Amino acid sequence: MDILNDELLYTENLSKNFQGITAVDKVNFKINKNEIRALIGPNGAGKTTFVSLLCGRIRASKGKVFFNGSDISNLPVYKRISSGIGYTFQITAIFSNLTVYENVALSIKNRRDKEKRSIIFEVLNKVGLLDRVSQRSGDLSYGHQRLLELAMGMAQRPKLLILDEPTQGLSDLEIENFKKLIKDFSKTMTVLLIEHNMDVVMSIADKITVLHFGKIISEGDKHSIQSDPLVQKAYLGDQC
Amino acid sequence: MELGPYLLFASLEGLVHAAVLSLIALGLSLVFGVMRIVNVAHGEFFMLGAIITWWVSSFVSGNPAIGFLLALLVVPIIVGMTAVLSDWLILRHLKYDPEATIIATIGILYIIQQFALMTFGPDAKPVEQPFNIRLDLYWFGFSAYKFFVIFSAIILLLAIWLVMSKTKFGLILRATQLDSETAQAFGIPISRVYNIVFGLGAAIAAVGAVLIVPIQQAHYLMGGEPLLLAFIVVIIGGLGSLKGTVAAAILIGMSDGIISVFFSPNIAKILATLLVVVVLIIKPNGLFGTTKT
Amino acid sequence: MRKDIILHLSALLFLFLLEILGIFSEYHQGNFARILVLAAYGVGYNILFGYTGLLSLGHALFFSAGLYASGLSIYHLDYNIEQSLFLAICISALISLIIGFLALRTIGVSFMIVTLMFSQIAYLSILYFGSITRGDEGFVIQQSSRVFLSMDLSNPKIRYYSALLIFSLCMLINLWIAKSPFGRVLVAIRENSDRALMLGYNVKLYKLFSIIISGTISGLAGACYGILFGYVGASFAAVSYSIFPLLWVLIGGAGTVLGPLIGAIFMFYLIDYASDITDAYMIIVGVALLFVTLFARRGIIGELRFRYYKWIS
Ligand SMILES: Nc1ncnc2c1ncn2[C@@H]1O[C@H](COP(=O)(O)OP(=O)(O)OP(=O)(O)O)[C@@H](O)[C@H]1O
Ligand SMILES: [Mg+2]
Repeated sequence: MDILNDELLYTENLSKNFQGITAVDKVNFKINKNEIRALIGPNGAGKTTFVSLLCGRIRASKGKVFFNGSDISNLPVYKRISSGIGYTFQITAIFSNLTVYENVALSIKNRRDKEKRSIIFEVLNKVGLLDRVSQRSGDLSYGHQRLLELAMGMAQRPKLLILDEPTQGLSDLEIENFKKLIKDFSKTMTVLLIEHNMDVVMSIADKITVLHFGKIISEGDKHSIQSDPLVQKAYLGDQC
Repeated sequence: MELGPYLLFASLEGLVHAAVLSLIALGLSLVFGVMRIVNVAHGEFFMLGAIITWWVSSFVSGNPAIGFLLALLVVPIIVGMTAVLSDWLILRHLKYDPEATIIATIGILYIIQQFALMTFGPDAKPVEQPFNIRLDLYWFGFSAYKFFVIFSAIILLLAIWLVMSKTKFGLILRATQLDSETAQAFGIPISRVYNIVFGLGAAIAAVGAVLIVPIQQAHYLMGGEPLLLAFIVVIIGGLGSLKGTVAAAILIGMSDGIISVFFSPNIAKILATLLVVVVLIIKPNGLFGTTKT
Repeated sequence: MRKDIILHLSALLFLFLLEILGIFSEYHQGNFARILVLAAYGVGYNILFGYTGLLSLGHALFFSAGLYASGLSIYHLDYNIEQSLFLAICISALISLIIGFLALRTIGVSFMIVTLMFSQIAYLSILYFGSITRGDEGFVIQQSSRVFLSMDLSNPKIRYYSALLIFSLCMLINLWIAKSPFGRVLVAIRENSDRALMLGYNVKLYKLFSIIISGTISGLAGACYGILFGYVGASFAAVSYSIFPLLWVLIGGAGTVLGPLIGAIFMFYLIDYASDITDAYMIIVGVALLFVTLFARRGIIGELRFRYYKWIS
């Protein structure tokens, strides 16, 4: 009973075919509340496609998604998002002509002005962009833009926050800072993190899922993943 | 005339229109296929071809066939060069951004059209047929020149098909159409290719103009309607597909001809336009692809 | 915020003073009355193009929907001005809803082509049903029908004030939208519709609302144009009347409240001047289109906002 209550999202046989390619292949995936889960896999493994299916950006060819106890497979994107899924893109996607403040403000809905303002200042303070609040976001440095995206994800106050390769292109220092932030987030929300940087994965993920050719080939804590021969083969095979 | 012969007559007329229409549409489709841009000024290149044909033929006295042959030779070159120039001066600087390109080609449309009004004048002007033979088809007579138009269009279409499928130039175009970035990585000079294709698309439309002017007269506003029809053809026939374009041109040209003869030209255009809207709405991403934001 | 509202109100006040102080010659007074109604049309266009980022090539459909709804109801059914305006608003809202619903199934270039095609269908239909619409030739709305609250709308002074009233109304709606959370979302959709979707906005619905507001304002402007200047004709449904608002908005500045007015004034006088010199005055439109796409992407107000006055709406 307890276990059932703990799961936030799970999928049943979730699949996606693009003309000819099966990008996601009958995936049964489960994530528990307040977990930090890393989703890894070689390039083209289907990670982005998989999380896009979760939030509805792409329609599944087959299978179901359950979130917070109810079937969301047929809900449009905006309903899934308002039911508590947050998503940040693999590529930077901010409203570059709007200010930092306006960007964050757009991610908060249905709240009174005062409350909204305090959330905005709180999240900007957390990611360290408070001094840039009225700057045009397109003028921020790349690292700051990624932080802004994080702030936007956070301001949504989602139950599940999906981050698609958030550390891509960041410096070591920025990555350290980022790790702290994610740890901090996970106190209040569940995080599903797609990540290529193994150092990040190993140091913050509670559990790791490995995707290869659209299938889950391994799942477990960092030790079991590191010693799994299938995983090693998938990554090595990728290098040849 | 009875219904049967009348229908035959309407079909023949339709076929003439279809022949010219497939040339115009092919030019539009080539430009869209390779460059991924919509050239709203395409109809004006056609019109430009027509008035230059009038010019050439009024310049050459004597046998109208000489003027016609001369026009067939020089008009596509002049029109093609105009298009090359507008690509070089304008479109290339817009980086072929879809929105900016449409706006700019609308600008080019007005400039060419109004330039024609200034130089050519507001009146429609006829061009004599290069040869004046009437074939007796039992129920009615039909101009041999119209058969010549159909025949020439077929020859040109075959030639284009050969170039596209058998030559290195055709290969380059197809590669660019498939994936311009990869093509560039393989050393294809994309901007030159674009420049040439834009000129070529206009030149093909200009050939259509040379062929049609002896039947239809030249007028500075004659570019609008073929543009609309060419859009319809290209959208229904599928972009970048030569066979689809020709098939759709025959369908649209014929039904336009037949419906215009039996009902009214406006009804024919309303129906054809509706057809396009329906196709686009049913296949929202199929034709122009999804533009990335 | 304050400065911004003061700026826009003083622009309206200025237009009011121009008339009340009798600064206009009769000629310019007439021109400006036209410009104001056309600028209201531009405001409508701008809401869809400038704020939401949807480029329509068929807004003449909405303009002429209002124009013909009011014109035909006065001409054939003896409606009075109030009734005909009400009808025009309802019809243009309904048509925008239908067109929006259908056209929004497409995006990007397809959207432009579909809107162009829809407006072509409307144009051709007006020609086809010539027995009702009087086709190309059009019809005149008699002076005796153009009376509103016992004021003669063909009187130049009253006509100017009416035009200013319509423009002010549309402009203030625009300003209010620009400042509202709804407007912020429209801008977000323009900037990056994918991201807006992933923030949980029902992007399609917002776009649909935007088309309805835009189309209805355009239709209202069309209706007022017919009523104030007394003529209804198919040329208002032709492609060029879809290109004009695009051009005004581009010149004045897409996504700025005053842009359409500035653009309309500029183009109106440019065309007016050019048509004295040549019959081929539309060449000006072509040159202007090229100029803005090549050299002045932001437009006049947009450039001012970008460089100096960030607070302008
Ligand atoms: N819209 C699409 N149409 C066709 N194929 C697609 C589409 N999107 C993704 N694919 C294909 O599906 C497969 C999975 O792609 P996906 O982007 O999900 O991989 P990924 O694991 O996120 O890779 P990366 O680590 O490079 O981000 C790839 O083979 C890709 O080419
Ligand atoms: Mg990915």
